Amino acid sequence: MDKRSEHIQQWIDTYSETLLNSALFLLSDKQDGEDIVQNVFISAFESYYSFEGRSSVKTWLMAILKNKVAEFYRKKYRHTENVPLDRYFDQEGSWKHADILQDWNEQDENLLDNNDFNKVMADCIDKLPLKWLIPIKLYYLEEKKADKVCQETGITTTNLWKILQRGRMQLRECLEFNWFNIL
Amino acid sequence: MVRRLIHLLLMPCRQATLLMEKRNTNSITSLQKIRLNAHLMICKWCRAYSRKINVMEDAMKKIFTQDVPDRFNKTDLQLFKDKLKEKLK
Repeated sequence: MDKRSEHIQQWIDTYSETLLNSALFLLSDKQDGEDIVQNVFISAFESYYSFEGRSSVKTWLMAILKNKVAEFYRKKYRHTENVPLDRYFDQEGSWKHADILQDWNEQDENLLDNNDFNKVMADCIDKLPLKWLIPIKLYYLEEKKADKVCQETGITTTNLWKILQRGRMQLRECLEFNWFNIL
Repeated sequence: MVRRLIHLLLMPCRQATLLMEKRNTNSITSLQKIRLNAHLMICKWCRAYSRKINVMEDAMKKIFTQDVPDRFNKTDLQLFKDKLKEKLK
């Protein structure tokens, strides 16, 4: 076995788990996750000689993974339709429902340390449609570099803000329904 | 009536909530910031939502930066590795 194959075999052993779990986190689907991680290793195999070890192997593989996820997104949701907000705003752009005015009473307590809350939050996030969820997750994963996410996914900056805006509105609704008992 | 005036003078709540997202990442321009703050001063609806955004933002940051929980079991993982190693020999 040559050195390249030997290294790749090693990396498959060492990094598959991390990559698979990250892919699953981003794509919310096991099969898609496996497919994409397999492609990550194939790419790594093909571009082995251009990897100069400037970053750690893990960082390099993770970068390939993020690219693959963005590519997956581009193919699947080539036409980002407009992001409708009429569920929340009337024609003039004013809030439709007064429930927005009700404060979340547990705001200042240690809400974020509450595991039950975090679980509800995670469930609400998972309920978002994938066409919004993938860019949102990439956005946080890329430390909120909007330009980078847009470049990778082919979403316009304006649409990324709208996706964040719309996604957050839906989260708010879900949380108020499942945790704060407002709705 | 007052709310209509806000819209005419500043911007509708729909636009204000979009700017809140931009503000979260410092992608907001100074002019937008001034207009957003003016809107928030008059609009208690958006003020309420803005407080909720802050809570959600903290919670999301926490969830997204946490280590991803392991969801592939040992058998699946081994199977995956074996298949792939065979392929890339």
